Amino acid sequence: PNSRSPAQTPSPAQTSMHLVVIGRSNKKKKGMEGSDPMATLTDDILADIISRLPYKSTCCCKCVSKRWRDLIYHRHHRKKMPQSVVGFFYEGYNECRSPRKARYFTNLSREYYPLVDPSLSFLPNCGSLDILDACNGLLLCRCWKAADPLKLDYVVCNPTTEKWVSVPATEWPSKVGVARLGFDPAVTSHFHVFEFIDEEAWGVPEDEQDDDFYRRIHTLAIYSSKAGVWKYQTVKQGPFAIPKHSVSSFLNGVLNLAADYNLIVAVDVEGDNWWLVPIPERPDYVDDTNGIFTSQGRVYFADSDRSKLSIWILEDYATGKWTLKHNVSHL
Amino acid sequence: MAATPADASSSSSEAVVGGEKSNKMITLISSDGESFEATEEAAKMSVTIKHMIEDGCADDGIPLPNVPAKILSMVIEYCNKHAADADDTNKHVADPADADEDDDNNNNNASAGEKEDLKSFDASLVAVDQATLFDIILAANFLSIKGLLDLACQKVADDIKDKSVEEVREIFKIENDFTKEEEEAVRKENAWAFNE
Repeated sequence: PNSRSPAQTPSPAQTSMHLVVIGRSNKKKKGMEGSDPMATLTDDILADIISRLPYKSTCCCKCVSKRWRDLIYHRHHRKKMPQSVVGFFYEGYNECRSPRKARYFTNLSREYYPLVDPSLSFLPNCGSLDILDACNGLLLCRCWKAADPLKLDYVVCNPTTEKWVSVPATEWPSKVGVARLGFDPAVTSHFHVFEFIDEEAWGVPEDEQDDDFYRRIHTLAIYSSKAGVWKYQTVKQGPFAIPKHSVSSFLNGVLNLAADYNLIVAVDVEGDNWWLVPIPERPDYVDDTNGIFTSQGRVYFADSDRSKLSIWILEDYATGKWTLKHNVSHL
Repeated sequence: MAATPADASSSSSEAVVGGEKSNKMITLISSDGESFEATEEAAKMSVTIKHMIEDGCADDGIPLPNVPAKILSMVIEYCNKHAADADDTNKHVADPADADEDDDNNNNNASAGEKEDLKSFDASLVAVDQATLFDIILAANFLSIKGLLDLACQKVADDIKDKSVEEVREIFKIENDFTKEEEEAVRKENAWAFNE
């Protein structure tokens, strides 16, 4: 397809000489052991290539060499790259201010990037919203529709990519105190939403409700984003009750929650396996299970009395055995 | 110019529309002194060359000291193919008055077929050894040919995707220059990516 000017048609001898010339000048180390052909590519080009990869591959790329690591983290290039964000949302209340309630985000990411807008204004039609739970980068929100303040929806969103999806409304969002999110991107890109529906929300007549456990959990509803439907099961375990702002943690497909009366309730995403684990023994009676957290693939419980902080690690759900890992004196 | 169907139809469109596209040929000179000719239209797929033509620097041929002959001929092949495709799209839009229903259907089928042709042409263009692929990237970058740069970069990305760290180092002959501590630190930070 290309015409060549006759005067410069290379003879066979000349052609091979040209190839040798190319070999020497452009690729100094070509064909030599331990050469780096990518050294010829500029940083901009390498960043372009890496930015086309899914996030998981980008993380592998960070470990290839110093050049790749520094490129991916570099201020100039990282806007193209998917990045991880670390931080937390919290709400402040100030009677002397309008609005009284305000939401903040504290960004603990490397160099505070990517940025996160705590108002989540990218969610459409949200008159007002509560953040109910966060799990591995996704948020579970409860939105009141701007058009109809009585209509309520769950929305699961990613505050950095601003992608969101609504979860079909059940009867319960307005009545249910405890809804939690289960999401583990290392396993699957699908998520689960858990709703713990207590007796009162379910509509059990008052005289039939459990006397000892106020707002005993009656039904567990689990939504799977893969199946796109809610599954309901009557809770046979317990009895137990879960306070509205109970601390919870999702790990290895199991949701762990702090429950009333010194209990930890754990259930898997299918709703098939349940564990009710009493917290480690304490000398003083304190009804506060909120020291539950997960770290490095294990479930922990942090407990504090006047003189010391104790960290326990759960050895086994089935036996409920805890091992004391650390004792830290307050003094 | 090659007598491919796309080229043939683009020539006829020039006759019918009396188009402003000139038939002017541009001479491009590779780093090793070989001359190649391309239509102005194809050459202008390179923004770098387009600017030189517009600035009047192209009359004696354009030297491209960064691009060896082997690569330049592949680049020109790409530009010829894609310039013709762009022209076809314009042609279908330009003559709505002449099109009746049958013509429309035929044109749609033709462009679907041509799109497939183009895709397989692109795929075979970048199915080359690593060194050549990187040379294409550098040339496309230097010449500012976005489509070719995207194509070649995507090919490299596809080769990296789903590979382990060790495999990437092996394929691209990259030296692991981390100290033991540095490597441990960066792997720990990204540990979740290594599950499975």
